[in-house]
Amino acid sequence: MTKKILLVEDEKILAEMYKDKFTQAGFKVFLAFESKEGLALAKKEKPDLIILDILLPRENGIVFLTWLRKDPEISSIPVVAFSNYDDPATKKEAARLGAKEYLIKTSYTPQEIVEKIKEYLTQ
Amino acid sequence: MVALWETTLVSIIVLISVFLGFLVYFKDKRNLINRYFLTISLLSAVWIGSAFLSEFFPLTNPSLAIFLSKITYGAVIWWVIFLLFFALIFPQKKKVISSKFFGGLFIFLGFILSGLILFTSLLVEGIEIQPWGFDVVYGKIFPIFATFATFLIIAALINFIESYIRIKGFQREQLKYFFLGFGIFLIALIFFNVVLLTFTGIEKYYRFGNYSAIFFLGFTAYAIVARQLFDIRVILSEILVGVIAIILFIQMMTADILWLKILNGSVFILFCVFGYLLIKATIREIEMRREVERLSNAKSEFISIASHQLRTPLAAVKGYISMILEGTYGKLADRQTRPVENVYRSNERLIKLVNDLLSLSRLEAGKIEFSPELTSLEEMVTDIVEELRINAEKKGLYMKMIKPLEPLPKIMVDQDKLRQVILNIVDNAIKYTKKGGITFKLKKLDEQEEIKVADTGEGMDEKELNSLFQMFSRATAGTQLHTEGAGLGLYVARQFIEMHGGKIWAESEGKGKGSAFIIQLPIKLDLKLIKEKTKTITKAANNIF
Repeated sequence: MTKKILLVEDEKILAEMYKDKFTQAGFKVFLAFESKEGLALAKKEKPDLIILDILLPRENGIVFLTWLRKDPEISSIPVVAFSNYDDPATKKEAARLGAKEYLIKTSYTPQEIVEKIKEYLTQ
Repeated sequence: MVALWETTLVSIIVLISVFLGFLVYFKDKRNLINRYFLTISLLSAVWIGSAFLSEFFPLTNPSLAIFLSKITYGAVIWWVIFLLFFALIFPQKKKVISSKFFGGLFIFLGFILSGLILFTSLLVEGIEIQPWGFDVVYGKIFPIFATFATFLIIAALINFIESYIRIKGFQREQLKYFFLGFGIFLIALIFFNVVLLTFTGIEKYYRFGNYSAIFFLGFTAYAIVARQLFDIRVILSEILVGVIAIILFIQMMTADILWLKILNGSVFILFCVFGYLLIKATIREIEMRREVERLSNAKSEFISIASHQLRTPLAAVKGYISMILEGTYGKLADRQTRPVENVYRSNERLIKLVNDLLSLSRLEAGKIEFSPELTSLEEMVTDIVEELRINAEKKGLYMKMIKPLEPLPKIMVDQDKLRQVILNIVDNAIKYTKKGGITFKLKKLDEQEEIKVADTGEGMDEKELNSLFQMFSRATAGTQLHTEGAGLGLYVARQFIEMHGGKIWAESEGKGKGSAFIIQLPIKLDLKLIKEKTKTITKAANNIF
């Protein structure tokens, strides 16, 4: 069965790029450009995994995670934080809210990200 | 007989206490800190006032003197209770187990004790006339009173000290002011009541201990109300200069001989001038340091934001180029591959530079965190070797790992930082080696574990080896072969390894003979040393910029 991925990412170029890659790798990708939109999509589509940017317009990724964890319908969906904002305090907060990992975008190629996500989904 | 000047002094102190209490209260009526402070101020006024008034009546109206003494001790009971309550909320509220129960208990005990003090003779039995005034004759519950008061003061102080250790920033500065005021108060109490009495037998000044409560109230009120606190060192130097100036002035006024008066006067004037200059210099130095700190923070913040902003387009370039190279958008013609690979490599260099700059700005701002985890160095190095093998093989280099005879025990390291260090070294090794390869060797020493990365590259002379781990320095081989890179990587690497209490250095037998980088990490982390190291590293980084 095709796995569903929700990508919450406000940078259009990056969003498109990762969507291309994940689609090509056989995933069904949903894009959201901000937290509220992401949350609505998560409730509607119940993705298998969420890739979450941290610096987002209006409410940031941490707020998104807090909302997600409070909603029993979607609270168990695994989340991978994915950002260029490399701040130790934010990383800790994301981990506390149950983010599986906090990946820095420039450290991985899209292919490497796909492999990591596949790993998570098979776990 | 009570002197007029003392009456004036006590009146002023009582009025100031009440004034400070209400000043703080009206600044923020709802805040519990401000309310408790008002209570403590009013109790201080009652305590100091009643103790002083009682001095007027021991002969003319002994029962009034006894009653006033009872009020004094009653006020002291509530004063210590509220000091403890204050300690639990100033400068920030603490979580205390069963705080309601204990709060209620202390208030209950306060009512019982103060009731017994005021309405019975169990504490103040009577008075005994003395040449300097009178002594209180204590009753049966004096030990209970003394124990209760001492216990509460110690409990309050423990709480204040605990807060001081735990809290940082502005609230810590507030506590410094509190301690300064309370310290002066305590020292004065001990000086007038114990030292003067024991060593000189002078009793008539014992009330001055009480009066010095005004220092405690004054400094604490300032700490609560002021939005920005003067540096405590300025206040301390002002107090010191002030006290010495007063002593010199008294010496001048009391000198009997004219030439001594003139001499003391000259010393006094000279001291005032230099004292003024000293305070001015202290203020100037502190202002300058604050400005430097502000600029340094602004710069670090700028680098952090800039790094984040730079990374977004870098991630897009990295992503698209890697996908082009993987053939996502169609197969590349042979002659296209190399230029595209070069774009990818250049981009990687930019990413690394941004990462190094970010690490550096963190080190500098003291914001870098040290988070050690139990790690197998063998596993970590194996992962890195596998990761970089493709890069090395593309250049026709081998990658080899010599495992230790016995498996190394896991040690505490900050994985992200150590990884960054090893990657940096291997990256350099690949960059500066034209043929041959890179060998990794792991071994256990007595108290350390060692990682050695040896290459068959350009090698370095002594001068280069010495300057390798400094900022913006690259060995000449580096300059000859590659002109990119700002030489930040190894500097950051050294800071990271030293943060662990470890060592990193390079060895080479000379030009053309290859080089080796050695990292030694302690098997047991010395947390105290790490704290010191982290501080000095931060300072060192600050000095460079």
